[in-house]
Amino acid sequence: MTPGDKREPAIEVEHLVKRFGDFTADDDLTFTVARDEIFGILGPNGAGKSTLIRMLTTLIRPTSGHALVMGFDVAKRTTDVRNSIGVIPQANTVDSDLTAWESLDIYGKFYGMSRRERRERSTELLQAVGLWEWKDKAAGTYSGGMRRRLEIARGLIHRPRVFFLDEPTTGLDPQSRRVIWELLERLRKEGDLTILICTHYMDEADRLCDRLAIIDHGKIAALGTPEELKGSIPGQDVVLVEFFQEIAEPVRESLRHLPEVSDAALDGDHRARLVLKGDVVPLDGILEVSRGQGNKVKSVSVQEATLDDVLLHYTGRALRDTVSSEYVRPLPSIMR
Amino acid sequence: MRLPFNPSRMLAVTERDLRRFRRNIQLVIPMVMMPIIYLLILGKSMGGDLHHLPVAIVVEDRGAAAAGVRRQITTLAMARDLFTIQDEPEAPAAIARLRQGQYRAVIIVPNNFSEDFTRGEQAELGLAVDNTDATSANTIEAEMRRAMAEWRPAGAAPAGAAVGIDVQRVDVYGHKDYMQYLVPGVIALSLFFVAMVAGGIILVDDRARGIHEGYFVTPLTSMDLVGGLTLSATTLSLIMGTMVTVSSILIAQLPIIGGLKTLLLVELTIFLLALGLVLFMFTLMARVSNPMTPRALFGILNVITFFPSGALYPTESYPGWLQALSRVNPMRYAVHALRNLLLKGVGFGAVLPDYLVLVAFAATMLVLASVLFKRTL
Repeated sequence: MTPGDKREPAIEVEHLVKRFGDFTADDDLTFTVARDEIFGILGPNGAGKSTLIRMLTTLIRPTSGHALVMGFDVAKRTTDVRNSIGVIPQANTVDSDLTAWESLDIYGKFYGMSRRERRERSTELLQAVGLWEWKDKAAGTYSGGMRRRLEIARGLIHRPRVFFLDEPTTGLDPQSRRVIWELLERLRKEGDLTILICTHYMDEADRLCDRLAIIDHGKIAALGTPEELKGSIPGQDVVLVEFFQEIAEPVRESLRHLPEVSDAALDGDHRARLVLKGDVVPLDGILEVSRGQGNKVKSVSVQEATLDDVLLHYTGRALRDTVSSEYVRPLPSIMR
Repeated sequence: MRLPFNPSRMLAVTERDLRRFRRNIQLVIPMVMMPIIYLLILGKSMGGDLHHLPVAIVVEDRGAAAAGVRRQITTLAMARDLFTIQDEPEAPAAIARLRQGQYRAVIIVPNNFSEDFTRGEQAELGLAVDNTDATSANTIEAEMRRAMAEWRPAGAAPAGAAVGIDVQRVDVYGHKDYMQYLVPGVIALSLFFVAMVAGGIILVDDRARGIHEGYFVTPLTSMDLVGGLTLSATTLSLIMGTMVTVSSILIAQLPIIGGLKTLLLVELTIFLLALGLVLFMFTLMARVSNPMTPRALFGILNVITFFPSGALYPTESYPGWLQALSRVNPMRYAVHALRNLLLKGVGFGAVLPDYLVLVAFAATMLVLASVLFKRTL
């Protein structure tokens, strides 16, 4: 396939390795990201997410293996890669001394855009990210969410084909996070843009991503759609049944013997916790038990596996305290 | 009773600071080195004995006494190391070269010297000195007076015969006070400050703040970055340097001998020095990511560039090692050029050798900065 071919994947990663001295940040990663997909990289801190994004965006060179972005090798065709990508790094790289308008205009010049193109595109983007009213104020006066939105506009100034976001909502308040999610969803709807997003927020990954790779210790622990990943872990669905009166062993026993239930446990005085064999909720059976015991059912709620459970299952824990590659090589994020 | 502070809390604060300092232990080196370097450089770049001052001698007289004086001066040059003597056939040509900054003084033995001396009169030697450099001028004059008072011709001298020295100071450039002497150095110093701030501190701060990381994911090349950053810092230097030049000319009440042409050449000198210093900073800071480093190096760099530049005291007074340091210091050549332009009103030809050194320095630094500057994290 030749570069620019419509059918080829947006990102192809093969046996990609990055070592910093003795520390292996990314260890033999292989995956592809299809065109116009939102692909999530999920993993605890220090798992190697940022190192991966830095290799894909030409900021550091891979130790071995190779990666193609829009068909261009990230180690050899750096200029072509850089022209095809927009990047929101983890560090806040907004120039506080410049206004939003100046920032976009200067970045437009980096990509060789004409004055007219820059003016049109900046206007369009600043309106899209809701910074139009603030475009002539220095970015130093912006809130965290506004800076992130400015970075998103700046990253899109040259109409990139692949957009990389490294923890785009880390440190933002819930409202700002929602605004950014809506922005990314709008971008997906407009099409012709592949998005790769690194995050350690499960809700973010679940809401935005078409497919996810879970990375741990620099390796891919699992890869698939959020649904596939949730379905891939044992334990399946859990149903909580709450009764009006106190329940005890006989109720648990009866519930456990329902054919759809693999296990049942008491969860407090009024509640039973049923682990299902499949995804059918045995409502009839539960009501039968309720009638038999003369204890009415107050509520039945289904607890689906969340990506939290998935991450916990594949990585052992949600957060890891360890010396990451970032510690070994101080990276520009000190004076944020 | 409750103390307004808790010693263990207080010590924790102290501990935190000391730990942070230990993490940045490399910063101790410049801090300790700074006063030592100050002492070495400052002590040796001011108030030392002068050596090898270029002095021209014009012997217009063919008599025995004139030849005796000529020998005495040669002996003096060899014994004291103060002058290097160069023979000049014509007084006007020698004076012209003095004006161009080639000589520090011209000794003239007039054609009636031997005749006056033989007649038993006071015979006058002419001494034209470079008044823009009062230190060298005074030293040369004092040394000449001492040498001539001691001198006795080989044969018997007639009674009453003596050698006088007619010093022509005012004739050369007009009186210049020390403040005016310092103007070129102050201009060079201001360029150092701008280069340090714009080329050093801001560069490293921007790197630490991720501004460069933002640049690196765009198609900007290394040359775009080095060139663009150099241009901005040099432009700032030119603006600030011009402001300092104008103010110091006004404060020191320095007449601009060469008029507009001199001012344009001063601007060119400022540009060349600024370019060299900015690129020098980029070279030093090419791999630095700790924002404290340029701040810690500020003092040392200041001392090793400014003091050995001849801005405060003639470079001829430096010991050999300091001479060597001063010879690779672009500020020395800029100060020399600025002094000749501002105090003597010389033309382009007289400052061309200085310009060649400044251009060579900037070119070397450009190569080094481009090689060392990393476009990746």
